[in-house]
Amino acid sequence: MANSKYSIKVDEVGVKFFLSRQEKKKKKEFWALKDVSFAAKHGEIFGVIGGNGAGKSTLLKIIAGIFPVSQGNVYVKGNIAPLIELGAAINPELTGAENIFLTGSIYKVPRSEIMEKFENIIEFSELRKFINVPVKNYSSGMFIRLAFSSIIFFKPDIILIDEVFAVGDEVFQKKSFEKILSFQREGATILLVTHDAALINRICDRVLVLNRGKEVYLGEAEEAVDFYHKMIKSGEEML
Amino acid sequence: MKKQFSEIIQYKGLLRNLVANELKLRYRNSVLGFLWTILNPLFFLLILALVFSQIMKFQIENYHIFILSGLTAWLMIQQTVVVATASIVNNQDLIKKVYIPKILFPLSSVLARYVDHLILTGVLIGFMIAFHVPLTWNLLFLPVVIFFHFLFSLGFSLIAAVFYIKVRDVQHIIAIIFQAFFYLTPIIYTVNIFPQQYQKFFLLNPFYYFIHSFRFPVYYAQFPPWWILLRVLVITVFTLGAGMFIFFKNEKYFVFHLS
Repeated sequence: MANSKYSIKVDEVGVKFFLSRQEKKKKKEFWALKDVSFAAKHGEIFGVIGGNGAGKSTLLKIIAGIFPVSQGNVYVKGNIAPLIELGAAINPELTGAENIFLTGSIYKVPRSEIMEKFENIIEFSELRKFINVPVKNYSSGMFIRLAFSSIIFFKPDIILIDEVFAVGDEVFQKKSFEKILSFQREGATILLVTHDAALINRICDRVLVLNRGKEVYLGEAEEAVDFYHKMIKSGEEML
Repeated sequence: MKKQFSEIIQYKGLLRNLVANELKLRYRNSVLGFLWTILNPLFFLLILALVFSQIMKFQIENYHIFILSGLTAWLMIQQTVVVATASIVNNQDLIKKVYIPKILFPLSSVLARYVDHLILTGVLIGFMIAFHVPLTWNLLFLPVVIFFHFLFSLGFSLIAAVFYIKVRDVQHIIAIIFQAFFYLTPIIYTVNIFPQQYQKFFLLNPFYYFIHSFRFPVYYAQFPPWWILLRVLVITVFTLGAGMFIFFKNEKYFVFHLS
């Protein structure tokens, strides 16, 4: 992987879950992903599309290191900002300011750098008046703004985005989307997982189509979306 | 193992925040705040001292220092393990959503408890001064003894945490074991109250050595006997080694056991 042009490389990966509590019983196993391979280049916006239960979120979680793979390999180069479930790192008992430091340290950002970016984060989140209030007293919109702002400012190399990108109101959503794209222009890789074909078509370079845990198409965005639509129409995608 | 150690270094900022937050949040909405760290064991001490010296008529010189030294050492293990066992499960929301080396949770939990234990040790030394118990150079060995208590309770917590993730009954079982050992270990009494032929059974109790190694420099104003220190060392190395082995072997799969 050294000196490679790829920042994410997924190699024949499989993820197995056990549906029963007894792990040893073989028949109850379920493959959430099987034989999935792809690689995303530096600065690429790579899309993953598929219906419910296609394995999209599982794929993100193995790249983020939350789930172990049952077979195959995952290589990741650089810092990851997982916008998988925003606010995962937030402790509601702590204040906004304390949470910015906590979130930063979860992503291995040195304290000095957090202090440096602190003003920018407060500015971007529009929470200056409430920054010393415990987060449990925030509205859901304020919570999301804090969560997003405290992750995005620490120069991620890879940004993982799950599902419909809903961050607060429309204005803030637009602003955060632009922020993400600005990192991409600086060389960050973006992995976007969604079932929104229009969004994929608009911003992604290449797209992987998943169906029930299997890789069914990998190619240019337009063709992949066409394939996905045909697949839905022909009823290939069943649950 | 090397990977896990270098990860702890990389995440030292998070470790510090987790410890600080645990200490900060514990008393954020309380009036007496951090004082509870001391008040709680002191009230326990008061009850024990009353019951056993007045009612049971134990004849031990400076009985309150005797109990307080035993109790401080005991809490270093018991309180720490009980809290740290649940640390992975208590942080399950975080573990399911971001990657963090799992060892940080029991480690920060144990470290936060040792802040309390050091404060309590300070109070103990204050008591010694107030009651004219001689302070000797042997006290300088106390940090080493506390460090072994720390490593032992960390190892114990790692093992307990792994089992607790799989079977939640473990926490109750641990509580019962500690309750039994509180009385089976010479914390509130000395082994001399038993006939000679039964005293050797105490040597089978691993906690016995930890309590004793702590009590020697404090209460007896002596350097702990070497055979006791040697056993403390062996038990600590074994427990911590087993704890790390079991923990690192299973940590990948923790996420599947969390709900």
